[in-house]
Amino acid sequence: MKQTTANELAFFGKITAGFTHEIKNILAIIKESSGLMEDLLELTKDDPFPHWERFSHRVLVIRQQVQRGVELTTRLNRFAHSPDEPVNRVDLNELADQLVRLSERFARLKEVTLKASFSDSQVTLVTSPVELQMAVFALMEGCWNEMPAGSEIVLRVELREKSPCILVRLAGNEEALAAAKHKVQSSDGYQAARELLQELGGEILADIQDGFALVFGDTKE
Amino acid sequence: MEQFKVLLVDDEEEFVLALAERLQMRGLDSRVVHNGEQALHMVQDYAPDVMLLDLKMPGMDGLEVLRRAKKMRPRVQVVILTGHGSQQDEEIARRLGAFDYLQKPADIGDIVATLRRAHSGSNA
Repeated sequence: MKQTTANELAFFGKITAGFTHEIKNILAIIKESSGLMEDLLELTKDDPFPHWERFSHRVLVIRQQVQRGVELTTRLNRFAHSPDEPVNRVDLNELADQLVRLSERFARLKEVTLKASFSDSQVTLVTSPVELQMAVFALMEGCWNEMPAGSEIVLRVELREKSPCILVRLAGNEEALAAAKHKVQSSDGYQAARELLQELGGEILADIQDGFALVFGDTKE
Repeated sequence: MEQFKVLLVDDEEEFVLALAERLQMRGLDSRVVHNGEQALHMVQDYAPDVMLLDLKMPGMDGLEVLRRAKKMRPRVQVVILTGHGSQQDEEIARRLGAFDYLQKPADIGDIVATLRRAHSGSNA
């Protein structure tokens, strides 16, 4: 990656990460305020005022939504820190989980679900965290754009003949998925992923039965 | 219930006032200040057993408050509660003697349990 681009990404990441911290502070205020309301409701549960149950339900909804906001903000914060180091050691299980969480909204709009399936052992790779995420996202985007509604993408991390590997498995109607897989290989997403992987010293293997394998050889130390 | 004194230090007023009220409801004697200078005065005047301390505050930051508070009153236990902390901040805080390190927003049950453990630690 060019140094100018790396600096621009680092700047963008720094500002975004700063905002996620502020959002967490806001969520903390909402959480404690609604928590206090919950405590006060608990004190009056034996002598409830009119609409006590409706209040109680709404406070519970606030608590659940704060939790959702915290999870999303934490994900966004980690993502924003991706460009901190242009090249870094990446835990592929963590990366797969992160990408699934960040991408599931995009897939859901195409009625495709995303899942991560973790390796029992830690698989790491020294690489550009930003470019690696871009490559996997581009391939997944190419897939969900072509896959029939109701199908599923599973990211699985493993060692393939001692090489770090991310499997992008397509699950659902086999016949429809075989046609979709064929179309994916001529999609923009697939081409972008292939070029990025070449830069990172990896390649996409399309000759596996139910999807694609992103295999990495040399790592950038 | 064993009584002990808690000092909450956070510049987010709405957050820390609500939290203090919730701690009071759970039987913890809690006082609130909003910056590092006030915190150090309270360490001297109120002599808290446990301090719940934010890291990023205008003026003196939480790590400096921690360092000075420990010098003034080595037995005070300090629990960091922050929405801004990095792994590096956590390592520094623990090296300076912080008892534990929590991320905002934390559950009230976890906060209370950590404060109680910190107080037990201070009596150990």
